[in-house]
Amino acid sequence: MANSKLYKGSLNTIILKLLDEKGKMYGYEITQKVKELTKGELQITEGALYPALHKLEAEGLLDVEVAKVDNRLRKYYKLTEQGETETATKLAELEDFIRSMQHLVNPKWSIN
Amino acid sequence: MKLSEEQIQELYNFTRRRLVEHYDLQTELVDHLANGIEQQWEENKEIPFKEALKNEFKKFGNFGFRGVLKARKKTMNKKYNRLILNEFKTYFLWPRIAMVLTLTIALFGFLQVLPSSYKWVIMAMITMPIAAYFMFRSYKVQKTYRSKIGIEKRWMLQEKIYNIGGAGASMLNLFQVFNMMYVLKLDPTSFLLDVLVSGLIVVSITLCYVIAFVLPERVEQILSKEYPEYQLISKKWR
Repeated sequence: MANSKLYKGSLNTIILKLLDEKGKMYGYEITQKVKELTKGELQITEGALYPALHKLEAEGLLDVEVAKVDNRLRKYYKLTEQGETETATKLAELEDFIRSMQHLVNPKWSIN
Repeated sequence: MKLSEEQIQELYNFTRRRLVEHYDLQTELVDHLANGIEQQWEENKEIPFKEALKNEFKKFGNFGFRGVLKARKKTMNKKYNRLILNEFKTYFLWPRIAMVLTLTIALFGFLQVLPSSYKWVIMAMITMPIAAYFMFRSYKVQKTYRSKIGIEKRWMLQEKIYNIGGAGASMLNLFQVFNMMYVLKLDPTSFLLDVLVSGLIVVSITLCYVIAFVLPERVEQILSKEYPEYQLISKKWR
């Protein structure tokens, strides 16, 4: 696994972005989806995912839904209206951050 | 291969043994563990249930469910505080504000006519039975709830509501306020002081009333709203 510290600060943004794309998801699905998208490079640990989800729920960014699947109950998370706005803001912030990091790591030298 | 009813039940017991006492969080963790186990079985059917569970639990790290539990409690505290605040606010809107204001003005009038030398002693004696009444109410609500533990499912928010958050005991803080009047030798005939004290007493009583009476009586309604799974479970299993 790649340096997890680099990803840590972006966990909330990753969750919000995934929910924005997929509509509603449950916890296990999120861990699997992230693993699949990053080809195993980033693995969200269970111990970090649920606290993050619960925190986002408390902040009013996520709403929950429960459905009976097989012989058990499954809890789905989806974005609230406030969550959708927050996702856009967080993504913009992350993009800015990536751009600045690129400038720092790989500066384009020019003579003039 | 899917998990059987018994295995799901075993997962519930597993979370309970690891100090996850509340059904709401248990359910989420059970589904997670079950998904993980089924995923393992898809890759290798031969893995025994117990071993697959062990593998899955390991992914939660050295502290197991503790981090999840802590975050969940924080979430519920926030939700609970929001419930109190929302209800409390309604007492400062029409028509309830009329009642609150009348009570404050009546109390203020009473403070004005009390002999200044005994004022705070008399106030302490009047608020004492009110505080005692709220404490008695908390005790009764908690006792009813505790008698259900082990028989019915536990919901974290329900437990918070039934715990009453020390509503009666917090009324005792008023005595500290009365005591301060003596210690700081504040002028007992002050107009402003009477306004402040009567406001403070009315606010305390309103807050205690919301915590000790309104929310516990509305617990069914609150739980159905906050927990989508609450309604999915038939009443006899709650």
